[in-house]
Amino acid sequence: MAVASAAQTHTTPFWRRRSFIQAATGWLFAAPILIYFTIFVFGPILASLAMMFFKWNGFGPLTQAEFVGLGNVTEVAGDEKFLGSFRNTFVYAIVVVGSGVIVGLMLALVLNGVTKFVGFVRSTYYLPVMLPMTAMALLWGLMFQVRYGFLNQILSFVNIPPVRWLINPDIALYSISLMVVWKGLGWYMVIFLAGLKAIPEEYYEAARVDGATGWQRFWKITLPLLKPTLLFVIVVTVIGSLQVFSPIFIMTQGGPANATNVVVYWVYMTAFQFLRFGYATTQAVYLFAVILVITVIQLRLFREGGLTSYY
Amino acid sequence: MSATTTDTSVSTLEPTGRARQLAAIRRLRALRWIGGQFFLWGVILLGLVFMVTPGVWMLLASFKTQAEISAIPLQFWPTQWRVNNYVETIEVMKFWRVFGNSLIITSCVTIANIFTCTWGGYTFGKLRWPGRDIMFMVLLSTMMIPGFLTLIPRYVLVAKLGMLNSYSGMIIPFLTGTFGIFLTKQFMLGIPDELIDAATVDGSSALGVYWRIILPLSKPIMAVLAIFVFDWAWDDLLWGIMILTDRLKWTLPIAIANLRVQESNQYELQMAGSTLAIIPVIILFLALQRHIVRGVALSGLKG
Repeated sequence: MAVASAAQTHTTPFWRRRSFIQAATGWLFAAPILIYFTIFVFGPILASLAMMFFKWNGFGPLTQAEFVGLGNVTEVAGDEKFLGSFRNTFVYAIVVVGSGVIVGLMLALVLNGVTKFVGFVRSTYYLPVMLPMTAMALLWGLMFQVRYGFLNQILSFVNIPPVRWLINPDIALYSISLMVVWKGLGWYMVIFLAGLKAIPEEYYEAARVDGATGWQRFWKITLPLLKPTLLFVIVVTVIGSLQVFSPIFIMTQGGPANATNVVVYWVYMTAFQFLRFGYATTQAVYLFAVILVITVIQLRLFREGGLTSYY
Repeated sequence: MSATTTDTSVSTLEPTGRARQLAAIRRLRALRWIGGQFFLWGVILLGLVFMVTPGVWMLLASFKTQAEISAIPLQFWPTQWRVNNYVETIEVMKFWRVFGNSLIITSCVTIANIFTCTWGGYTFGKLRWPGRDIMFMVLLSTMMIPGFLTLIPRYVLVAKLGMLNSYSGMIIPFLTGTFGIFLTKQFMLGIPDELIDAATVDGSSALGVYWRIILPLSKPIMAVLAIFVFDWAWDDLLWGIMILTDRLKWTLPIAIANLRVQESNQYELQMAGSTLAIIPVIILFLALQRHIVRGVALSGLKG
């Protein structure tokens, strides 16, 4: 019998076999996704790398693009305006992520200490996260008005002289950061709160029995156990912040004196205002390379030594 | 003798002394707890005011006159509720047209993502086929690639396909997403294989399993996906200003951004426009806030 059935499976045509059907089904299901990604992700990535070496106005036929070799790459390295936007982007990302993480974590700790109305409070803090950035940027642009803006009028109640929020080149980038942190705070808080809830209460009780102070409990229990959450939040928000566009486009258009000029805004301008598509792509690749390095460093930093040395 | 007398005196005193001590400690603890709660709620309320005030101010400003908005000292309430601001804004922004464009584009992108991401989650999470894990890693690696890197080639592609100034140019490049596929794949680990095997034994094809088992069981993750994709697509500005140059094709974010240029001195119109733009999001938020906050925590922890 066994021999007979073995012989029978052997004579089954391969397209009837279970393993073949499974493989064919899988690839058939995956095919549309893989094709889509090839067209809209992998293709454009390769095109980006190729476009770096061309000078092209974006509208003529691609065959008329002029090969410039490393011309774009060397130009980027010495382009003061681009390098300035690069600096601004990083200052912005550090300020936004740094204050978001610190204030968001503090708020989560506070909210973790109360039991009533948690759902309501959490939702209210989260609301601005959902609101469209374009509308909020327009609103804050008005609130930042120097003479009669809402913020300066509030500050005048406590006798603080008017702040030139978006006009002073030294603080314009920080003003925008303030608005972005306000909008994003709820996101940080909700994620940290979920991370805090996942820490078993027994750890804290054991520490309390051992006589650990609140401060010690935070550094020895909360922070180490929150490490995966922190890593996730920082990696995601750094990558997101480095791509900031909407608030800059609406509130300052890169001004005053290029103080809020950021890379993605400048890439957009280079391509669509100055019609230098090859050069704009080179700028984007430049930022991407740096993001890649930073992400790898972040992942390493968290894995060994660095922030986790207190483990 | 003297020792015993002191002993008795202590022992007679002790119970009341200890009770008093315990009561004192309890009172101190209660006081400290109340003080702690007082402090925590102080911080929370301060934060709530900070989070809510800008929105309230925007709503009030949308009913004021230009002069009231820029009055010194601050005028918080409008003297007269000018509903006319909205009428004017709707006309200036071509609101209904723009709103309709946004609604069509965002709905298409959202619905498409619900199906493509669950499809991807099923393909990479439940189907068994050679090469699956390698292919999934390849897809996952694109999560490291920020959108702006491919911005210009994608624009060129869409332009060459003749999709400038069209809905398809806003929809087709965003039909699916790596993060959504990843999220649903994680979710599907929770769907028991036995269910799928049973359906297969009963003669269901892989397509049938997707339609009759995976989709109905994926409703929670579909809700999370829908919220995030909708919120993201509703707010997209950069791709819109690249693709849509024709005013009649504009989406809400473009029209809002344009208010600042076109009506640079009409603050009341800017605020009315902003308020109009957030209404759909507020409705979505109020209807689904439980899913939203849970979804954030879920995707945050799993990501």
